[in-house]
Amino acid sequence: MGPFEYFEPETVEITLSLLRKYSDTAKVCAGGTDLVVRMRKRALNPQFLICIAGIRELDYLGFEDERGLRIGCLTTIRTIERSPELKERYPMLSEVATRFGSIAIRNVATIGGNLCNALPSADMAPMLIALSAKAKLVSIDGERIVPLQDFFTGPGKTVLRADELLVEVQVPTPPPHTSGVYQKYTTRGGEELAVVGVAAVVTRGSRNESCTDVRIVLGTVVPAPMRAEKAEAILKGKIVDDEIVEKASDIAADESRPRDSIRGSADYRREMVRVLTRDALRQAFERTQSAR
Amino acid sequence: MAGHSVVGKSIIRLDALDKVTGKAKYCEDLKLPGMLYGKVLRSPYPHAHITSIDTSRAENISGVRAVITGRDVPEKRYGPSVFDQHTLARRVVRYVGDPVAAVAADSVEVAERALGLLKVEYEKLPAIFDIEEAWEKNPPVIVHRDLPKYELGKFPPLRLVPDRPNVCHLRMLRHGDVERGFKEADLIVENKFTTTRIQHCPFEPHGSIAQAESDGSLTIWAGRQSIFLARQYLCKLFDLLPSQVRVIASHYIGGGFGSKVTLYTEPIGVMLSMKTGRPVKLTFSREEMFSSGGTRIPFVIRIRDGVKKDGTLVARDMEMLLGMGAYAGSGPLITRNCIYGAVATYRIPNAKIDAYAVYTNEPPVTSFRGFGSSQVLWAIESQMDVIAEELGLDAVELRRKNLLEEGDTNITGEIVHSIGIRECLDKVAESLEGSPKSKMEGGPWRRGKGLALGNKYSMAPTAAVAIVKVKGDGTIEVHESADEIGQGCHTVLAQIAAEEFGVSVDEVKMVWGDTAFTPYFSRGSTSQRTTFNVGNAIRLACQDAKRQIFEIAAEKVHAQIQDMDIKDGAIYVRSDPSQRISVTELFTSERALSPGEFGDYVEPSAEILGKGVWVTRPAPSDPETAQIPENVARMGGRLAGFFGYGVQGVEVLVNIETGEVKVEKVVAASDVGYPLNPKMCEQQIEGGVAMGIGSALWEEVALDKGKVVNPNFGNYKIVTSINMPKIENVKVFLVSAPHKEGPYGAKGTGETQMTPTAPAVANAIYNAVGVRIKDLPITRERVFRVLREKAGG
Ligand SMILES: Cc1cc2nc3c(=O)[nH]c(=O)nc-3n(C[C@H](O)[C@H](O)[C@H](O)COP(=O)(O)OP(=O)(O)OC[C@H]3O[C@@H](n4cnc5c(N)ncnc54)[C@H](O)[C@@H]3O)c2cc1C
Repeated sequence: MGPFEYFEPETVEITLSLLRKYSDTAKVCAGGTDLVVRMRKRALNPQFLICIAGIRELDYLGFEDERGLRIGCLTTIRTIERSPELKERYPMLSEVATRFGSIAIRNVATIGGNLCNALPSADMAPMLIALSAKAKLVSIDGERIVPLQDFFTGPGKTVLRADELLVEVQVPTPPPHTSGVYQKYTTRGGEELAVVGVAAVVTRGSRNESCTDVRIVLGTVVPAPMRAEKAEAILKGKIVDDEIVEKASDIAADESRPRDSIRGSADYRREMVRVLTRDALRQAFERTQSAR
Repeated sequence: MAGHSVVGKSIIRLDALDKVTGKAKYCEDLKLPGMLYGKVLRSPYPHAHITSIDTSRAENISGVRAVITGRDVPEKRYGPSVFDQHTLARRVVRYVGDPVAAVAADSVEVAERALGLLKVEYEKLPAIFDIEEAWEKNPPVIVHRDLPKYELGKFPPLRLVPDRPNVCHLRMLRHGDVERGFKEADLIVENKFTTTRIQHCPFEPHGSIAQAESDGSLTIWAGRQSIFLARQYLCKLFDLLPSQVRVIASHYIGGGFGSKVTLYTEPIGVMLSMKTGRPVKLTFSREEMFSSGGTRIPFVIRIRDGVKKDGTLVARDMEMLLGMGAYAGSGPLITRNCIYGAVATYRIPNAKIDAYAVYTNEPPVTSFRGFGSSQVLWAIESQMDVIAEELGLDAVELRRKNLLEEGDTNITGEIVHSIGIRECLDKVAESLEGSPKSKMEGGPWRRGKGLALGNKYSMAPTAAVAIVKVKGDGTIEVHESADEIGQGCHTVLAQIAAEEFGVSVDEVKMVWGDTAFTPYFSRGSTSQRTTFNVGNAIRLACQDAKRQIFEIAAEKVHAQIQDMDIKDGAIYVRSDPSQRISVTELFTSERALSPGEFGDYVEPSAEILGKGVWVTRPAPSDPETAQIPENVARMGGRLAGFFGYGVQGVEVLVNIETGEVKVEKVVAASDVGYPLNPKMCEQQIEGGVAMGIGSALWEEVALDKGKVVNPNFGNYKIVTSINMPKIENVKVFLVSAPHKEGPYGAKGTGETQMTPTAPAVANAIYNAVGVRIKDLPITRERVFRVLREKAGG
């Protein structure tokens, strides 16, 4: 690790002025589970490290009926996994958290870090996008709200400016009869980064079996988490059966852009997108039967 | 076994409390006054000339105490068998990770910064990575052009192959007449199997502290296996006498699995200490463990078997290429010994084996739990299932039919002794019987089961010495030089001493190894030899000490020595146990304190020191054929110390859509001779199974043009607790075929346990979905592809 100057600001305001001052020579550190690993590998050598872990006001889960769920950026994955209220209202999000790393990692890894680090394999991103979540970004000049769908621009890249902090994730209340499933595929099983991640969120009509809305979001097999819009399109408004699910999964596989990597060849990963999308859709539809 | 009070019991490990409370000390915990930290700069190229090194900028940083390069190290090469390696590359680098320069600094951070400022220029050379290509007669690249001129060690005696310039050893076995055997066969089955590089992944990376003393001698604190082997290698490299090199075990060692036999940190540490005059600690990072810390040796195995319709094996022909990487290390010795994996289990009238040690420009390999046997058995035990299938025979019956028995002659001419494999096989086969018959599991999952046989010899020659000191307070202090690498050897060795003296292990004190104080143990805790060899030495030392005690006591209680025995700290007369005297009563102080007070002096020898020497000698064998002369075999001449045996059966679930394999159940039986501590034997088996599952399904040090691309636990997948079957689904049986020379009949057991796992998993996968995977690891993607091919897609 290279040398750096270290700050522990106590407020968001101080953080923002430090960020303005040091801009891209500085890095924010939340849980540090991505950042420190990269610094040790010297993939990142910030001159200034701004540790925000002490700003407890950024650690919260808030539920409001019209605005939905608000998650402070310092909320840990473990909190998301264990919150009874979240489990009740957004079970698909707590489920993603259970598939994330190990308990030790979940205890320190934050949602803000997961999104801002912006790896294609970041587990929280696909489901949040599928739920139409937005990010609140603030700088000294003010705030802006960006749909997560537009937040990621490439591997490790986002629209976040060097002087901005992601402070909150906002998730609208899903319509009635909506369910979501996250499928994560790894090479060994347990405590690993995804080789393929697929989130499916499905809304069923109140009286019929047709699918009134659907979101399929691919992770890892794309440069940045991406909706499989063509696959979504053929499902929308249709009565859902095995055949159409298979078809949608084939299309999603075509839409994915996996690359050969040490974790699997592109071909194999595309095949896995097919299997995972199918399973995610099937399970999500099944769950809408019992969803509120 | 009846009549034992301490051995044969699952007493709690002596290190348990220290380890769970974090008190246990490892090399990393040691800190000496004035100690510096070393770091190594490594080659980024698989093969290159070093054209220049500029150290000036690094030398100018404050806190940097020394920078050394190839110019500073001995011209002499070193190595365990072929002297092919410089401490730091002098002119040529031969693998990505080859040490090029080293820095000693006040802190690790400063040392790392200095590495970044070293400027090395290279001229790239063509490199070779494929084992088969490197083995060819006219390889495009020769890794060591000067190989014919290199000095060769004496063990094992090496056979170069002049027209194969990348081969440094050819090991041959010839038994019977294979061609005649194949003519007699009803069926000939030929297959090619491969294994890959895997890393040992010990908790504690390699590390040592080196101190060059002012009188020219060396003191080394090392977290390693075998302090005496380190001494031997260092003497050779630095032209020193054994009395000038002191190697001290850094107390506990955080796992070795074979990796810590090689010198990795010590020679460079010594050079840095010589230059600075200060102690230098050199510790590998995890990345260095993967790139330069040694891996298991990858094999390419062609196996051709001839069998009769009824399953009788009549001929076996194996050709094996072992990819040693850029420096031979233990490669030649593995090449010599790996054939024993093919020797120990089956009766084969005609056999031929050729094993070649091949250089490439990949990172060097080292010893790894199994020392070649796991790889050989990967081929053989997969092949046995293939044969059974082709003959329409039951795979268990096929094996039973060909098993060696006590008193049989194996393919080296050795007469088999202490072989419990049939009972292991019976236990595992019976236990697997009970599992569900249906292969369909709901959805894409298919169920299958399979088993495999394993064995592992313990290498000879081995010399082990123990000294037992009986203290004035009755404590038995045991001095020996086994390495406490986590296997728990101190516990078992203490049990042996306690048994001999009829006391509990609390009365026994084990002393940490130190070549200046503890007695000789030739190759340390490697080749599952500790319990057998050091155990025997301790028994003999105890007997020697007891004889001295009885002599002194005999006078005091007026009895005959041969009538005396010892228990619970008292010497008594067997025919009249009321006639007794306690050990402490034999001692007085020199100042003759009042009786009853602990003394520290005993007449006439001042101290009671028992000494035991145990040597396991191998029988001579013909270098052309590996055969032991018949008269030698009849006299009990043996290949190795002993053979441990194990059979493992597994049940797997295979997902036909994704290729995922889950190991659901494991049944493992092992012949340990006699379980001195049954719980610890079971733990060795469980650990071996876990490591075996990892090696079967995920583990692979992945290389891209010689560079390790997954040097971390994020991308190098070891087995985790989540991947293991539930504990109630891991069933372990201990089988005892006592060894006539083993302490209480015991044999060693650490290495055997990993040898059958991978082929058992492969056989179960075949049973589940009908595809045969011949290359390790059996990744999900590999299973998926083979399933696709089978389906014709
Ligand atoms: C062993 C291990 C296992 C892991 N397993 C998984 C897994 O299964 N799934 C998965 O998705 N990830 C996994 N990760 C990656 C990592 O844990 C997560 O991405 C985690 O959520 C990152 O959060 P953090 O708080 O540690 O971020 P940090 O490391 O502190 O920060 C990450 C990046 O985000 C920036 N940042 C952090 N917070 C903010 C903010 N509020 N505003 C602006 N920028 C910010 C930092 O500057 C940095 O660039 C694993 C990591 C490890 C070490």
